[in-house]
Amino acid sequence: MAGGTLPVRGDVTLIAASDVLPVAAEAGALLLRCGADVARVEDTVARIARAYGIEEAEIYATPTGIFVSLGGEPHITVIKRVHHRTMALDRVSALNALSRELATRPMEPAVALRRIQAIEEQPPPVPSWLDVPFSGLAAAAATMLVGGTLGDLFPAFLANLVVQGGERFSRWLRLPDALNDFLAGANAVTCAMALNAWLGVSVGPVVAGGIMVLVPGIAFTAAVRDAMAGDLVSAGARALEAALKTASLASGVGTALYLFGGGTLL
Amino acid sequence: MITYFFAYLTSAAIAVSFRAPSRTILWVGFAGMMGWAGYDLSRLAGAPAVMAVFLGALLLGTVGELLARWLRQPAILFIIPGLFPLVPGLIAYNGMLLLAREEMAGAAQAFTRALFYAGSLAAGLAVPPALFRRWRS
Repeated sequence: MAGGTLPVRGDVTLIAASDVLPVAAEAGALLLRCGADVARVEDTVARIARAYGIEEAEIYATPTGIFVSLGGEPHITVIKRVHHRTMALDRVSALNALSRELATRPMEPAVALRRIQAIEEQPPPVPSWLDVPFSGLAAAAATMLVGGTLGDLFPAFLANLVVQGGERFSRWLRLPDALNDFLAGANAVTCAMALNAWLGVSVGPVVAGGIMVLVPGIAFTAAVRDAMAGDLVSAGARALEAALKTASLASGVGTALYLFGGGTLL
Repeated sequence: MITYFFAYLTSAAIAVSFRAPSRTILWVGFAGMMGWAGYDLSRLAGAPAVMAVFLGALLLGTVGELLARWLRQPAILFIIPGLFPLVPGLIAYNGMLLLAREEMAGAAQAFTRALFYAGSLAAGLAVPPALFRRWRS
């Protein structure tokens, strides 16, 4: 494909499925890594394949990996494993724009692949050290929605900063996820006890604020959503992830309360 | 009324930490506030909590789809952070804590409640995309 010209028949660009496959699979895997839901991932990958004139595409996405099989004779398939998922909505947005662009103005697969890699490497919209203060702000504000008072606002924010900071640190140490969450729960209680001794604030709202961003409410809702859409494997995986996370957090909180309470649980 | 402000702040702030594009953040907050408004107003009108969560999700989903078409962004950009004020994460966590204290009845109640909340959220969110599907931006 020298010179940037694409072989065209009618309106449909003719490109070998083997050239399109890396583009489609990489886009799908990136979307999964950025926290997009499987229905959206499958839809986007199918749209990219269609943009290159490949109608026969089977895509199977789960939160932990994606299979893409593109048509023609013979069928070719690629599997991409996804290990970690972190919410990165700017990348979801950029990939969405790219897939729209592909649909109206096809570009060479190699160029599209480079664009996808550029999206993966683009700097986040705000510096990443601001992630923690902003999620602390969200946690403090959310504490007001579950019945906290204005006096709880600052302690909840502070507790969340400490918990999130600790969580980033233990993730940096590459501890297993369940242990991270256990430590975060224990950390929230320690923080609440310290604030209780220092400022006399009640423990409950501070613990809630501390773990607010970590409780997997969105993952839990996404699990039910996937189940309703018929993506049962994905639903099961997400529900399990959410249950494990909740259990680790709660046992961290429970253990710390037991230790601080001098032997009585809560 | 002050809860509306905090619902806005919750969604907008979590959107920043979820790395939403900067120019969408004020609108994400708006979507989250509308979801909360749907929930809060239904509660005031006497609806049961599960119904109120459904209506909140319905409103959030509709606002999300409209914003998505207007700002040419995927709808999940508004819906994921906008869900944050409504999700039953703390309820499920309370259930786990009760389980650890061997208060089985309370735990079962909390888990059932969390499941119903999540179910009605998901059901509420499923409606707007189905209605808007014909209207591609």
